[in-house]
Amino acid sequence: MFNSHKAKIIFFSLQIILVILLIITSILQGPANIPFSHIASIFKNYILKNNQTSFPLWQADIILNVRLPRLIIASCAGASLALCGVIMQSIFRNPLASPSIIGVSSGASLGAVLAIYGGFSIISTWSIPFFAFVGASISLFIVYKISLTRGETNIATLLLSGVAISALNISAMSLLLALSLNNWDVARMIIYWTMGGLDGRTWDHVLMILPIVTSSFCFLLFYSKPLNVILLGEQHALSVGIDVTRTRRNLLIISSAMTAAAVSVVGGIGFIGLVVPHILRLLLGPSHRYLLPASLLGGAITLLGADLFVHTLFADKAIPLGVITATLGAPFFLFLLVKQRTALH
Amino acid sequence: MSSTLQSKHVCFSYNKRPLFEDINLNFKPGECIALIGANGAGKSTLLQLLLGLVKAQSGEILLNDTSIANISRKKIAQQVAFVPQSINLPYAFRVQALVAMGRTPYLGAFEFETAHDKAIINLALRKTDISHLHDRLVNTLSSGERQRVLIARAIAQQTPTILFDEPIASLDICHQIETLQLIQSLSQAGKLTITAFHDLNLASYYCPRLILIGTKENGIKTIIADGSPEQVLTAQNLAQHFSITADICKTKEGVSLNKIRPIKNR
Repeated sequence: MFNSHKAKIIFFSLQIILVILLIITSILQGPANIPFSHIASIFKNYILKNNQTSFPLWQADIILNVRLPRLIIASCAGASLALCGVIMQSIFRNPLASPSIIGVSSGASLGAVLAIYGGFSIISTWSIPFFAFVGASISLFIVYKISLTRGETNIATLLLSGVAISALNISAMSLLLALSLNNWDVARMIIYWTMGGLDGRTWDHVLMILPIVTSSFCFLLFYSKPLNVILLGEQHALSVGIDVTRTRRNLLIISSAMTAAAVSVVGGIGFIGLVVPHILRLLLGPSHRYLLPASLLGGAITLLGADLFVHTLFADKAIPLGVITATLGAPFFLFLLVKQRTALH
Repeated sequence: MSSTLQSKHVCFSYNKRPLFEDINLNFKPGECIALIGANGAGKSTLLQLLLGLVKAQSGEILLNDTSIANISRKKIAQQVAFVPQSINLPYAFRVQALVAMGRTPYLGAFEFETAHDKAIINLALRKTDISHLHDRLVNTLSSGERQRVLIARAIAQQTPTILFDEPIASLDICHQIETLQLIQSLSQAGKLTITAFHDLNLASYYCPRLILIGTKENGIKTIIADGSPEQVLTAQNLAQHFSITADICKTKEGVSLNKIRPIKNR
């Protein structure tokens, strides 16, 4: 749709404007009513480091330590899940590949639960993302090995191996939870963690996800050309001089790291990785030169938007974010599956 | 621009089952070579070996006297281009963008195509007669057009050698001839072209040198015959490796097979 170079620039500007609008609305929006003028002077004070206060101090605390980390985390988590979807759909050459569907998210969750169960999370908060990374990598590697034969993935094999790995991961998590029930402190931590979401997220969580998303994105930019050719097929990529095995391995590591970072901070939020890349591919075409930055912004927009939606309409009820993304994403997934069915026969 | 491609005593096995034994081949610039053999004879595998996509168990493929196993994919892609068999292109890339992928081995990760690259891309589009399609999406093209897009990409790679894996398999007769004439003109321009074929008549008409791959008595595949159409398309080879009999007629251009009949009692 946005074919010419100029149209693409307009599209990116629209995305950036939308991100900025969502950030401003998210900062204004919350249970406590803080006027815009106060927020402006809070930021001015914080940046200039002067201590003349025209606002109550608790307001500065809410803005700087509650709302700001929350929206940074929402943007980063959305962006990383969408980017993972883009990479996986290209590596597996399959429109249905995405972190939640092929069992990578659940692998990351299992890793995180294991870190809590084993008490590693008490030693260092970084153990949760680390274990999540290990879990995500193992799940992704297994699905990759099973479903990829001679550079091609069979849709049925991909989905079935994803379902099997997810089931295994989820049952292992239930087992760990059941085992930990006689130690209520551990069980409570596991339950609290599995609920996920953006509530109570702090700057510690920002430190976990922001560096990983930004560095992964920078790495990914190096792969925008190889990703294009890999999308066409292994033999195409090899014939124009791309070391497919190495490229795939690096991309799998990057996507495991991003899924793990997102899952360990906000829990499993499904369907962003599936839906966002698809819509953007329809709008911008398959070239990763545009698709990668557009997904970064698009993922951020989706999760910020979903969070704002939950907060405004259901302010008094604690509705998990995953509910919103799944309500929108699941019908879309079914639609793609029906479309694929014609391609299968 | 001159480059040599050789295979020396190459043996290859797939899943520990020996497939090829003692493949010795020598190619010179400007040769137009047809690779023939029955289904499953290993034509695609031999092309993949020559391209370094699969590794030989023993022996070596030499590209400009260096073993291909020691050359980076990028450097190989500057010497050898490959037109894969699958012309299924389900993604909505523009023809121009797909042909531009042929410049990948010459460009860094963030480099855009220079005016020089753009000129090469346009030349490749013109040579394959698809300039008018440059703004079309590849998933909306016919299979003949897609085949020419992939050949244009290989031309844009500007390699001294191009390998084709059954480039005419899914084309109608007119596009088959057009594609073969294009391949012929590439070898006349000094490029080495190696093409996997099923149609023996077209192979012997367009290619002065035929290489027949087949199975030996011990069940392992190797080069059965290598030479001019007259030397390769003998009654014995046809019967043994294609299970056909035919009237072999010598013509001005080489050999033509008439009244091809299958041999039933295999």
